[in-house]
Amino acid sequence: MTADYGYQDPRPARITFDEWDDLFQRIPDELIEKFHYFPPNNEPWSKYLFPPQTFAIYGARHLRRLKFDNSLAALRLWGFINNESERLFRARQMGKKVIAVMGDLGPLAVIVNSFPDCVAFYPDCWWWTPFAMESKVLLDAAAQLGIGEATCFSRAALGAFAKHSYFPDPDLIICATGASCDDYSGVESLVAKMFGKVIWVETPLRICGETAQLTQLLTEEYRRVITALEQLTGTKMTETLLLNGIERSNRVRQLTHRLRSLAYENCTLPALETMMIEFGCLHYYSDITEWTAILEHLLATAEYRLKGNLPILKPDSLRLAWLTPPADPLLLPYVEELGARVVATEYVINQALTIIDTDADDPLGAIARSMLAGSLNGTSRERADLLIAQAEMRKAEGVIVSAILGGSHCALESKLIATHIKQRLKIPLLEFDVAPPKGEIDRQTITRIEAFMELVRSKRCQKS
Amino acid sequence: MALITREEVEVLRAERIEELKRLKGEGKKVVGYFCQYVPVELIFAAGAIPVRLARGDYFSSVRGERFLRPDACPFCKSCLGKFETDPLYRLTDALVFVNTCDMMRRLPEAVSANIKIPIFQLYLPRTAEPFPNRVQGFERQIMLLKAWLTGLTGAEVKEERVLTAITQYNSLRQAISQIDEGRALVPPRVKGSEIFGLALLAWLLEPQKASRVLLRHSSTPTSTSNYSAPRVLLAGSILTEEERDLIELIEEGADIVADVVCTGARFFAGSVELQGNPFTSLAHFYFNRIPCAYRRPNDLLYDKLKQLILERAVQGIIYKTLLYCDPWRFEAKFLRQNLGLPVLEIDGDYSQTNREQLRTRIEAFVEMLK
Repeated sequence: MTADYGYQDPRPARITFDEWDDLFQRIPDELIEKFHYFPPNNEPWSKYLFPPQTFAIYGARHLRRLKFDNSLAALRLWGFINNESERLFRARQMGKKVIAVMGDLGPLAVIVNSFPDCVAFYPDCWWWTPFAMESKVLLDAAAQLGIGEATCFSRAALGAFAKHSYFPDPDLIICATGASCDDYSGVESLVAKMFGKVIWVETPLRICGETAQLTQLLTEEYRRVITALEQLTGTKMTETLLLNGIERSNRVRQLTHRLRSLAYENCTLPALETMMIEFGCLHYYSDITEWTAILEHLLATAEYRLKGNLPILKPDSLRLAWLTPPADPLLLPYVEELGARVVATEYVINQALTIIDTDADDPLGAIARSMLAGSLNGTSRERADLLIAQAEMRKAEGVIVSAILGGSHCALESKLIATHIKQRLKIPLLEFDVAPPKGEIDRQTITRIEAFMELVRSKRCQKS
Repeated sequence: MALITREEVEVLRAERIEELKRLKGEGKKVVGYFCQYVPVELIFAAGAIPVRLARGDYFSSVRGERFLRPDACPFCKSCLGKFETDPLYRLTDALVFVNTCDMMRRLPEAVSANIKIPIFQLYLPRTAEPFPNRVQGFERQIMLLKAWLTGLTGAEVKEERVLTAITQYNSLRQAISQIDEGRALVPPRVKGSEIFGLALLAWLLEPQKASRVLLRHSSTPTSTSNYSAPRVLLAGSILTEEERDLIELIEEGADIVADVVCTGARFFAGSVELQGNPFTSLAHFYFNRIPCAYRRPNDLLYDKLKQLILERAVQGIIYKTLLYCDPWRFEAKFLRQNLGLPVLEIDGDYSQTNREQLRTRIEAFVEMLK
């Protein structure tokens, strides 16, 4: 839809880089001028909706190989995501405090964003950069610092810190550890050694029960974070500020829930865009206000498609559930090319999707509880059960478990999870490691995915 | 004359296994644990028998691949394999895990999926700064362990018994520490391999018996090398009992005068405070142990390394890590750059096929130190 902007989206379709470039020419200039980061700022330098070529020239070479949703809202999403580095440097120029939040995947950003003029960003999310840029520069930089190839691609974040050119050196670095993986804990440790001082936050596991006690422990950790931010910014954190921050985060989470549901149940958005939406809950791509506006735009688009029966993927496509986010963005569009659609996911970031209780007496405690409810803090079996519940609800016909060779948690839990899912769902399951970036999916993985799809298709045929 | 030989250790192990069988027959529970952060005093005070499961070899690791991916930690894979083959592992009635690294965090899930045995997973904060909320949180975990042990053994874990256990284990740790001081001398009076052997006895035998064995052996006069042997420090991932081969290989040309290995000096370092609430004392002691590399920050580990390097006139570091052991592998570069000593990095999966290449590398390293 997007009538609000005086622009009619073409019929929903997944388009190529070149088609996006053509489409961009048809978007009125006045409309492009409307979108600015860090609103209400509307300075000319803060535009972010550009032809895809702009981002490809800046390094996002994988854009040439992906397929995209052709709605204005989705193009806005891509422009915003690809503009994050610039936005962070600009935040520094604008006098905002740039805070790196690492390792907890969700709640720390809620706290940081509750402070006026603080921008939280997740270096963790730079794990996509080697794939987006089709370059091993960041991985090589990490290797030079001691984290080599037998490690999760999240090591790219260490390379990004070392290069000093992907985001400004943060005013404060907050590193959560405990529930996060060893790979990322190692990245954090070396970042801490590089910068001299970080705030360490213990994020306990749920394993031993006693939620009240764990909540108390985590709340104290968050209090230390708040003290550090107060010292940095000179702003005293109040309950009102914190509740306001929670409400803004909850708004993002509510929108994300609705969008996931529309995408996975009603085929209104492709899987890659939906994954990027879900990951936006971690850090709002460093600008919560504009990110919320983009989500609202996406939601309006998805609801228009639902109402008009205009799915972007064929509703009768093969229904897949996906566990662990694929580091290579080529993979999700590829399965869609083969006639599948994703209907359920477990990306280990649902602590960033949990709605935080705003009626609680203690807002920090409420944030802590939302963290402790996440799949990051629990067992592999709980992760598997989360996916199973969604897969059953949406009648998934196959499951893909993607992992990272050398990723410390993948090595132990992938097999446990895969075994449990196979026993419970009794549908085909494909487990594979995402290969290092090289601009295309490696042939072996392609063969395995294609064979898996054949199997899923034949199972459907047998049933019918 | 050696302080304690490998053969003597094996005899004591065999005797202990027979003893454990007998005690199990009498209704005692054998509680296995894997990590130096487990408060053994509690297990002992509960009337159970604590036994550290610190064995690992290539064959059991391969066997473990039936349950885990090949790129999982060799020690974790080996643990699973050992439950099928190792008499000590098969004697355990229950297991206590600590969520140290990612692999050890999830190993209990793999064990419970494949081996039906009661499990307790102790949550130790990964952050090492001893803020009150963290230490208190860990103390609460210790109380949960206490309750679980009572459920297992039927015996209440009383304060007096915990104090007795603390006293006995303190004595044991102090006894090994005193012997370990012999490694600081020039030339060292004790070999690194002997210290690893004594540590092994400390977690295998009943504490008073282990102390008696130590006392007997500590009176044995030893002299291990001449002045010219380079003095090295051993650091890195867990060294299993079977890896004494590697230690002995190093000692063919060098003296291991210090280590920061969890099955070596870190296992017997320090004492639990006897004053005050024993559960609080245990929480403080185990929380504040010389940190494993996985803890954040791990500055205290580096402080300890620097202290040992100075005190024991260390000339070089042998850094032995396990394949896919991220917490230790990640430190290798920083350690090399910051300790100012030559470092030999060895990464392995218990395979013996590269033994002669390893020998060459170690010999070359030792030559370089001379």
